Amino acid sequence: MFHKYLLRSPLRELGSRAVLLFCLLLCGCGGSGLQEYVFTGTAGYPQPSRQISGTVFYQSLLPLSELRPDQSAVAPAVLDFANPVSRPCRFVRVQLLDRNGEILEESHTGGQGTFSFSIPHQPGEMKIRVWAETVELEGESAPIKVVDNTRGGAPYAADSDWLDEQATEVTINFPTGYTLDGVQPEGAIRSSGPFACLDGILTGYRFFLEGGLDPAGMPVCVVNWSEKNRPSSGEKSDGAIDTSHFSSEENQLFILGFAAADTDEFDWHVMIHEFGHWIQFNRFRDNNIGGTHGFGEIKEPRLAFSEGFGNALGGLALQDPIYKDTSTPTGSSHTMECNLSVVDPNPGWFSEATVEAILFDLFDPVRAEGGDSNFADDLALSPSIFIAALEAQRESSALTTIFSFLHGMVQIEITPGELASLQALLAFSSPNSDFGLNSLNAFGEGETHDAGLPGVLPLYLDVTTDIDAGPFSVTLGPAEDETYNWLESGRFLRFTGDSSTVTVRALNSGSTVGSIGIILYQAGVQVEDDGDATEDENQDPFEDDIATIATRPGVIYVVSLLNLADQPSTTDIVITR
Amino acid sequence: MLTLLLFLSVPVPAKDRLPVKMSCTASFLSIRFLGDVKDVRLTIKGTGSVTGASSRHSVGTAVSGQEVQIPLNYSLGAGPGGIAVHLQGDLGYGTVGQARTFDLVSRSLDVRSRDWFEETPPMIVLPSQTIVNKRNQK
Repeated sequence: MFHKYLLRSPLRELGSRAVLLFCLLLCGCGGSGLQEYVFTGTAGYPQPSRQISGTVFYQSLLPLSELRPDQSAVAPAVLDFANPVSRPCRFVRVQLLDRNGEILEESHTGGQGTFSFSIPHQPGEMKIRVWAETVELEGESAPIKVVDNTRGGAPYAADSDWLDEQATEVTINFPTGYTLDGVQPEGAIRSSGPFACLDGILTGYRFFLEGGLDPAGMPVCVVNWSEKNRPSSGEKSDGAIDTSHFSSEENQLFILGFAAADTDEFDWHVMIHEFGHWIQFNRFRDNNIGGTHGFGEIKEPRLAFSEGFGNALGGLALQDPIYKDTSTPTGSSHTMECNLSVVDPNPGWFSEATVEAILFDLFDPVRAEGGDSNFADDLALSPSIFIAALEAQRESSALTTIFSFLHGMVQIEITPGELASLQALLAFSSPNSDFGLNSLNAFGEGETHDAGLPGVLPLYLDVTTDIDAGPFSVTLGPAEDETYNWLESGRFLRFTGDSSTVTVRALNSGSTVGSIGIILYQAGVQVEDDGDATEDENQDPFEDDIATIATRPGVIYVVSLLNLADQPSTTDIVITR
Repeated sequence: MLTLLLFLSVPVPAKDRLPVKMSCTASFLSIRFLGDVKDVRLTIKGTGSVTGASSRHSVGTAVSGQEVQIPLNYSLGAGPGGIAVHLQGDLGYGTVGQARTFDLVSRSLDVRSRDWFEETPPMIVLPSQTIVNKRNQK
């Protein structure tokens, strides 16, 4: 089960043989101090060994909410400081060190936190070093490590006490650092924090491993956690990380740890949500444009999908439908079971709450919410279908929305009965003609719910025949207070390539407010040479925005237009070859 | 005009947040509401070297566009410190909280750079609790 290797030097080998001889002499004289031997099979005679086994635990705090899965409400969520729970440190790297700090053997724990070392006997004290780092084991574990962004990205580890020659079994425990009433005494270190982060992310990762995902070729998932990581703007190296988040720039996770305000190492729904962004970025695809968001908001569908996906993944991996996010003194919780919950007054393909509820209901146990609800929760699809849908979404020319996910899922392995249940779920999530969703096409073709907003459908306006046909006008809603990600602030265009170089130009100079941003996607992947897809304070808002791409025949291109001005903008768009 | 970098460089929080923007000076905490929020309550606590900042406030109902300023009273000690602000309010479907911290005293960059160089360890060794079973000990 464990992969072991010995670091031997000739001198140590000589020492081992001398010890062996000494032991044999002792035994011959009736000595009883050394009784354990292993047979190497090659030498043909017994060698004395030193065996140490043990278990590694960390103390965890459970987030509590009184909400029931069938209860459509928002309720407080708090950490249960009074009842810490021991959890095994699963699949973490462990080392056996001598007094000189030399590594004698390296291994890893199993799923129950147990490990075992067996080395040729040598005298002196030793200790076990446990790293906040998991190893890759097929179907069980993937490489994750927890580091401290406030100390130069240094990795976390912990040492046991020194173990003398009589030690055979050791239990290592990492305490929370809190008292039972939730106080962190002066000088107390929250040792369990990095290991809780590690185990939480591993729980999210294991949902994919159990579905058959092979992490080969993926980078180590690096999680930055510190007791200084606080909800503040500033330098990440100083702990000012704003909030728990995935940074695509660094391709790393940053998790809050500031107990006086908000700490997330035990809020696994939150951590797995962020891991969801990481795995979308590293294995699948995420066209999310970011920005602030919240339940009940009518957002552009890439953001709605990515956020709803992260929440649903947390619930599915934890098998816990109550999304809990604690903070100091109280956080909040909501259920993901309710297809139409009070937190989703505007359901549809543009709602993160709708995406969350649909994805969760597709893959959680049938009618797991209990109670006397009549939710349309008749499907319990496997994680492998979840993965296959994400892979199909990655390969789609459409952007990452709930449409491309559902289209990918329908394309693969679901039965006609499952398709009927899916359509029933969508119908249940569509309370009227404005709010809901009904399309299973990757580009949302045939969708009829427009959130009551004129001009948002069709979701992708096919402009292939508009190329070289003169300007056409688009009207976009305002982007005030970072609301550039609202549905009405953006528009998708699509066209099919033909080997020509195509230029998309937003004639901001003819607009009353200017500031249309353009992003070009080729087969769903953002094109790198669209320098005008960003706006900065130094740019004249009335300067025309231009994006150019050398097209390939038959490939579908998507243009994302975003209004970056704080007023509605009607701007002419010209697409030329 | 917005300063905007697309490509997911903007953090996308996993947290249900109140529609507010908070900022802080040495004397005031400012909260601008970007949506209507009922039953707004606010708790302020000192962190690090900041003491005497603890206070509670009830704002009542705030409407979109409204800005509230809360005067800050506190004492500064030695070393970095600031305030932790916990804001909660009813968005119509339930009470949502939001935490934010602000640094009032931070280490100067040159000191931090020097500390950084000197303090950055190859690893951070955490304390643990060890229970050992020994031979002939059952």
